[in-house]
Amino acid sequence: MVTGQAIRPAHEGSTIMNGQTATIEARGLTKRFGSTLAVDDLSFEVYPGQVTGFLGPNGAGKSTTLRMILGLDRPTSGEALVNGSPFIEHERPLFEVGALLDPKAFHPGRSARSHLRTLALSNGIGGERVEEVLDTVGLAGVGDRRAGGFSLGMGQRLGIASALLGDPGILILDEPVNGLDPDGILWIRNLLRSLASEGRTVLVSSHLMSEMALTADQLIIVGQGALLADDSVENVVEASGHNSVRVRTPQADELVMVLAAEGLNSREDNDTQLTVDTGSTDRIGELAARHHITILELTLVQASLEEAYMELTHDSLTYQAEAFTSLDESAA
Amino acid sequence: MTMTISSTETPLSPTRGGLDPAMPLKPARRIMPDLLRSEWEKLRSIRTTFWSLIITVVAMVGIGAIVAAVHTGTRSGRGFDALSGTFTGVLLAQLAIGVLGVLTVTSEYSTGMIRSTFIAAPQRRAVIMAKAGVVGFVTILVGTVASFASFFVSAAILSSHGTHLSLGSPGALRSVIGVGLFLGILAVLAVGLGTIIRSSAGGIAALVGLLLVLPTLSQAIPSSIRDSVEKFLPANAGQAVFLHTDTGSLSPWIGLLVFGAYAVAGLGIALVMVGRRDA
Repeated sequence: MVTGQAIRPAHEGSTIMNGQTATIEARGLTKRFGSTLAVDDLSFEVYPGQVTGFLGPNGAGKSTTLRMILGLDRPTSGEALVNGSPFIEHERPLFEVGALLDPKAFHPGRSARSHLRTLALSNGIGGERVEEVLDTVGLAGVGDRRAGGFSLGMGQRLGIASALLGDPGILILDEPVNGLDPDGILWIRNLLRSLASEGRTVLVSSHLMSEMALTADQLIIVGQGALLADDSVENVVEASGHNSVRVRTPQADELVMVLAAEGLNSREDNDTQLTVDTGSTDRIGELAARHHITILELTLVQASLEEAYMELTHDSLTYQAEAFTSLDESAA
Repeated sequence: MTMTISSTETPLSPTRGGLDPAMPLKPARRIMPDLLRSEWEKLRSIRTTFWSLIITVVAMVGIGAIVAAVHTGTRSGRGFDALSGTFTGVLLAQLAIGVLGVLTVTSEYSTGMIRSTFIAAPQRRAVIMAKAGVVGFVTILVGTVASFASFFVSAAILSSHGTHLSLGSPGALRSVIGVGLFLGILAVLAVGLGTIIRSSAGGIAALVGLLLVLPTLSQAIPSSIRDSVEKFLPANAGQAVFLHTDTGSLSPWIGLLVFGAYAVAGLGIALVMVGRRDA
């Protein structure tokens, strides 16, 4: 069976989750620019039917990763597969993958309509579809205007229109909400959710956790080009372990001692308020009752996704700051 | 589970979304015709194209006419090559066409369009070949029309001063057709240069260097071998088909063939490089 030639069967080794086959796979994806390791042995799968947030601080290697998935950059090692094979092996990929990498990836002298026509024609897509996507993204009225005069938000819409041309099953969007007004952000959010609910794969990058918290189901978090987390939004929050309980009591000092005796850390926010490192309000309530301590308020404070994210990316940011410092020093 | 999506815009058709593996919309035919159509749409929707071609036609016809008028008035019949003079404008037109060819590629890199192009068509070599094909073909068409126009205008001016020039004159038809082919091949070479260099300024500089500077620099070559080297320079070789210099240039068609070889080599290097580099 084994031949000298490495022939990759379709969907070889594809990972399957909940009966779904991964539509995007990164396997040991690595990209080195000179001495900089932009993407470091990154492996993950992206599944259809949900919005996957690709998250990381600026400079974490998100765009480079997306560019490698889309065959624009060649990985130093590793590979990225789209529908089971490298992107560049797809003929007429607009029918499979729609992508928005850069809101200004058009010739400014061309009209929006003409820009879309050039891309559509290269995949054998007709002019009616161009009109449809112009309509979908709300640019139908300005289709004949020079795209060079577009605002950043209109550029994003044009980029999304081009991604939708082939009605693809996979959408890859790099920071699509950048430059959009609140209306536009809401529109993108709804669009992404509706695309996912139709069974499409939606991979969307962002450096804003707050945005992903509202849009994504699954999170792939990277820092310094390496994978930090690959999990559902709930699990990422839970794993951060930063749930706490806020207690308001006139007997704060007493309660602190009671809690300490039970091995619970707490800190006094002020004379009448404590924050306790635990996920259980019941336990504090019982302890307080047993020691006759009056409780005025007992609230579970869940870690926000933002906090979970900060915690996850903290180390990579610190490392980054150090790297810059040493760079300055060596330059001096 | 039913999911209601409130969107202010027209919803997408939910019919496909990767759920249908048959992908009925995807045409099962060869990619090249689609890429050619796409590149044609690109070329015709940019003002640069229009202006480059206008300059080509005006330069060829206008300068040819001026040269014909001036020369017939002053030194008629004394060593003036009426046929070569007719095509003086090509020396300007070649720059317009060369710039057009370079910009076809470099404007995509400078604007970021290239990423949209390669995401829609990852067959980069085929894309560059389609570009070269479309620009080359359009240039041959326009160049040939301009060449005939220029020839007939010049011939009319010359005949009014008693100099006879017609398509039947020795080398006339070959020169007129050769000009269109020369410009077409030049456009292909320029697409290659643009792909290799990727920057508009750099690409145009390389083009000017190849067409104008290199022939001048060749003066620095020792005279013993200069003649045998000079005639093989791209511009000299290519122009042999319509300019008749007495200093040992290549024969017209051989010259054009050598020029074509430069274009093929340039495009070949471009195709190798475009596949290897990050876009």
